Amino acid sequence: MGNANNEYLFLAYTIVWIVFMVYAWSLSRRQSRLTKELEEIKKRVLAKDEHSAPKV
Amino acid sequence: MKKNSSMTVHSLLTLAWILISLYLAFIFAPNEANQGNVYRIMYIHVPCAWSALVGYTVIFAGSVGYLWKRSQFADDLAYAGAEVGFIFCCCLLITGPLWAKPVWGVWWVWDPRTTLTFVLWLLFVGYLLLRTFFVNPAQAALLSAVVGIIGFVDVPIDYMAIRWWRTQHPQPVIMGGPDSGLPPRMEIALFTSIGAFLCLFFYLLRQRLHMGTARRDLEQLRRGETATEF
Repeated sequence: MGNANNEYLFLAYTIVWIVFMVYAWSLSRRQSRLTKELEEIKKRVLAKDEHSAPKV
Repeated sequence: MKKNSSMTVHSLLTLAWILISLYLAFIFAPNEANQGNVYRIMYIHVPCAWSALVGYTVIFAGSVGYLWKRSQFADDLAYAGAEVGFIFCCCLLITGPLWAKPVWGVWWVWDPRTTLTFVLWLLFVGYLLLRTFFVNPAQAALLSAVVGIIGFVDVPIDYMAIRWWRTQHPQPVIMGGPDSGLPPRMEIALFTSIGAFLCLFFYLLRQRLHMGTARRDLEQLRRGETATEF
């Protein structure tokens, strides 16, 4: 029974590693989007603070 | 910068460990007399099982922390554990039938172990749906924490199912008693694979936790921005 059913073995490993790679990529993309949004909001908040700071 | 370098080290360690475990699973470990090569699915199926159980344990720990201390970090940890644990549980339920079909002749049987694992998967789904569809974050966190704690009952019963009951699912090969166990090379390959998958689990958990914390910071900044506009 050595080489019989090898397609199940191949499928199992292929699916699992594709799932992990897709998930890791999705995490990385979501993180990049969040970081970008955070930077934009921080810039806007800083700009507002500078604008509303009393001029001496 | 420290967090980035520790994540880089963790990712490299995970990759190395996975590559070693693949070598052990395919080259080092011998063939199995009855099942042939297909038994090597064990080297991803069992590690996925361990990781899924650890995932729900993380939900449980985070949920207790949230209900007890109202800790935002604990809530973020529970949510991260749910998402990452769910992925491993999906892989567990994919590899199981792929192993069962050539060995048992059927894709699935409703025995105690498989049924309780399916229940575990439903618990992950339920938890994630609660987090997604409750608009009020505080309500979502509270209800999810309750599900996280009550649902944890499934974890030890699922783990012990093959010890307490006679099941179609194979009997335990780790800590299963005097007649259980694997040949030494298979055991080395299996423990290395379990370690590799747990390393991967914690790497993904850290990534997801970091993302959850960033999302919380973003929401706070958005609320602050909206407040100053008024």
